[in-house]
Amino acid sequence: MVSASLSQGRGYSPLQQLALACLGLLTLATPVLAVSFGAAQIGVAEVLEVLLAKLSGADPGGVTARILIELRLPRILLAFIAGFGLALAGAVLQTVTRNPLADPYLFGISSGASLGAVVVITLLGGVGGVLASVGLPLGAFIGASLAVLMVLALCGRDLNTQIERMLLSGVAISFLFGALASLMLYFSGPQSAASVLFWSLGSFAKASWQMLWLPWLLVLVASAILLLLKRQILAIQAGDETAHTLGIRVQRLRLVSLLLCSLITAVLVANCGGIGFVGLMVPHMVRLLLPGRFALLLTALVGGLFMIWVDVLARCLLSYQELPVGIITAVIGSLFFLFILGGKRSN
Amino acid sequence: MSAPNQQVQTESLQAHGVSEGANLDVAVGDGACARPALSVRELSWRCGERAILSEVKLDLPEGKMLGIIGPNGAGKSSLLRCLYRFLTPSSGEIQLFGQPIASLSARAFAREVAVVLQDTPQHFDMTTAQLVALGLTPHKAAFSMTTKADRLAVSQALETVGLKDRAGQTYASLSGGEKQRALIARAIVQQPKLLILDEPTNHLDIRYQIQILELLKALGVTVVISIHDLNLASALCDQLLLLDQGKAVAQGSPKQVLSEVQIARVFGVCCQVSPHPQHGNPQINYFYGYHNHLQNSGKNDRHSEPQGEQPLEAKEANHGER
Repeated sequence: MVSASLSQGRGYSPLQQLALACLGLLTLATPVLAVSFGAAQIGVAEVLEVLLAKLSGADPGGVTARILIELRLPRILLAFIAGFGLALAGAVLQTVTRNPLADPYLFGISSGASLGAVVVITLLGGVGGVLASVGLPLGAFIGASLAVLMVLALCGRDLNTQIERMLLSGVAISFLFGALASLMLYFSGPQSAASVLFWSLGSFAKASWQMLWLPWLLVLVASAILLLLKRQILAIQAGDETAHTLGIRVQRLRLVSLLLCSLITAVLVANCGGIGFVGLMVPHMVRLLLPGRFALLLTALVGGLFMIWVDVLARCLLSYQELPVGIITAVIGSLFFLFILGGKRSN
Repeated sequence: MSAPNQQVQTESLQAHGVSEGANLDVAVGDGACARPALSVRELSWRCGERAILSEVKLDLPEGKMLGIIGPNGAGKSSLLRCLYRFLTPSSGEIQLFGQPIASLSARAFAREVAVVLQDTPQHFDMTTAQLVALGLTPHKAAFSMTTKADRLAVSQALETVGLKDRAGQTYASLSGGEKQRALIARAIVQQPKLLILDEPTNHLDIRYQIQILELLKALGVTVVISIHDLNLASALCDQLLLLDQGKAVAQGSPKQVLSEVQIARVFGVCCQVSPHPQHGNPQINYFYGYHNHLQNSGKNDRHSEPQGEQPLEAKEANHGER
C-alpha cells in the first residue's frame, strides 16, 4: 500500500525506495564499471587509478590510459546523453500527445535523418576524411529538421484536431522520406548501401572528445527547458480543455514541446544513427516502477544508464566485432513489450 | 426569499417572442450589498449558421450558486464554455467583477475562474495528490518549483473534500464520487473567485449528488453549475437559469423559475409542483405516459401536454419558433 502523506517522503513505498536507492548506486558505479568492459579487459582498480590520476591533473601514460580516456570515456558520455535525451523526449511526447505509443521517431525524424544521411553518403561516397565526418551528421540533422518542420506545418492550429493531425502527418512524412531514401539507395553502389545500413542501426563508435560538446549542449539545454515546463506539460495530460482552464495555451505548448524534442532527437540521430525503442520503452519502464508520478528527470537518467549498458553489450557480446546498438535496443524493446502484453493479459 | 431587498430585473422575454408571465419578472439576491460577480450581456454564439446561444443575459451576485437547467441541446455546456473562454462568443459581453473577461491573460483568468469538467482522458496516469496539485498551475510561473506552502494547500484541499487518505493512490483507482471530489479539490487549490462545473452530479448516486452540491455551497465562492436534476437544483441552488434552444427563458430563485407551466413548456413533461416539506422550495412530481404520444406525433406536440395551464398566446409563440 502506498503511504498517503505528502509531507513524509512524498509517499514512496519501501519497494520504490529500494529501487531508487539501487538506481542511485548504479548511477555512481556505472562510469567506472562500464569503461572496464571492452575488447581489452581492464580491471576496475586500474580504471580508478587512471581516472584519479587524470582528475588530479597528472598525465597517466600508457596504452591502457589512452584506451580509457580517448576511446571509452567519450563513448560512454555519448551513450549516456543519447539515452538521456531520447528517454526524456519520449516521455514528454507521450504526455503532450496523450498517446502511450508516441516516440521521438514517430514524427518523421528518423526517416528525415536517413534521407539526409543517404544524400551525403551517396554524393560524397568517395570522399573520405573531414568532409565525410562532418557532412554525415550535418546532412542527417538537416533531413531530420526538414521532416519535423513539415509535420509542424501540417498539424494546423485547431485544438480539436491537433494531436491527430500531428500523428498522421508524422506517419505520412515518414513514409515519404523513407521512400525517397530507398530510391536514392537503389541507384547507388553497394558500398554506400552498406554504410547507410550501418549508420541507420546506430553506433557510438565514432565518439570523440571533439564531437561530444554539440550533442551534450543541445540535449542539456532542451532538456532543461522541458524539465522547467514540467508543470505545464503535465497539465495537458488532464485533457486539452482542462489544461485551457488552468491557464495554459495548449497548442503553443504542444508545438514548443515537439520542437524541443525534435531538436534533441535530431542532434542525437545525426551523431549516433537511428537508435529505436529507447524513447518508447524507458518512459514505460519508469511508469511501471512509479505509477502516476511523471518523474521526468528520473526517466532521463534511467535512459542514459540503460544506453551505457546496451553499448557495453554491443562491445562485448561478440569477441571479434561490435554489434550495432539499434539491434540490441530493438530486441530488448520488443521483448519488453511482449512481457507487458503478457502481464496485461494475466490481469 | 420572502422579502428581497433588491429587485433586479433580469430576463424579459419579449425579445424572444414569448409572452412574459408573472413568474418571469425576477427578483435576484437576498443580500443587501451583493455586487454582481458575473454579468453576461446579450451573449450569442453561433456554430456556422446555427445559433447555439442567442442573447443570453444573466447576473449573479457574489457568493451565490447558480444552476443552469434546460433540456439536452439547450446550450448549457456552450454557455459554460463561453464563460470559461473555451469558446469565443459571436457577440455580447461577459464581465467578471466588472471586468470584461476577454481582457485578461490566460493565466490571470485561470487565477479567477476554476472549472471542473465531466470527462478525463483515457490514459490518465496520475496520483490524486498530483491531480490536485495541477490547480497550482496558474499561480506558478513557468519555471518555479513546488514549495512547502503549495504542498500544504494541496493537502488542505484534500482534507476539505475528505480525500486525505487517498493522496498517494492513482486517480484511476478512485470511485466516481471520489473522482469528482478530487477534481473539486483541484479547483479549490486554484483559489478561484468563480467556480464553474459542468454537470458535477452526473453518474453519482443520490447521496454523492447531495454531498457534492453541499460541499460546493460550503466553499463560499461564487459557483455556476449545469445540472439535470430539477429537484436537486431546486433544493440547493440559490438561483436558476432556464435555457431553451439557446435562449434564457427564465432566471431567478427556484420558486420563480420552477413552475408547472415553465417546466411543461421547456421540457415537455407534465408535473405537479409543491413546496418541499424541509426547505420549502419547489418539489417536482412528474406524470408519466408519454410513450404513445412520442410514436404518434412529431416533436412539436411535446409542448401540448399541459392543456389547461398554458396561456394560449404563449403556446402559439413558442410553437412559432420551432
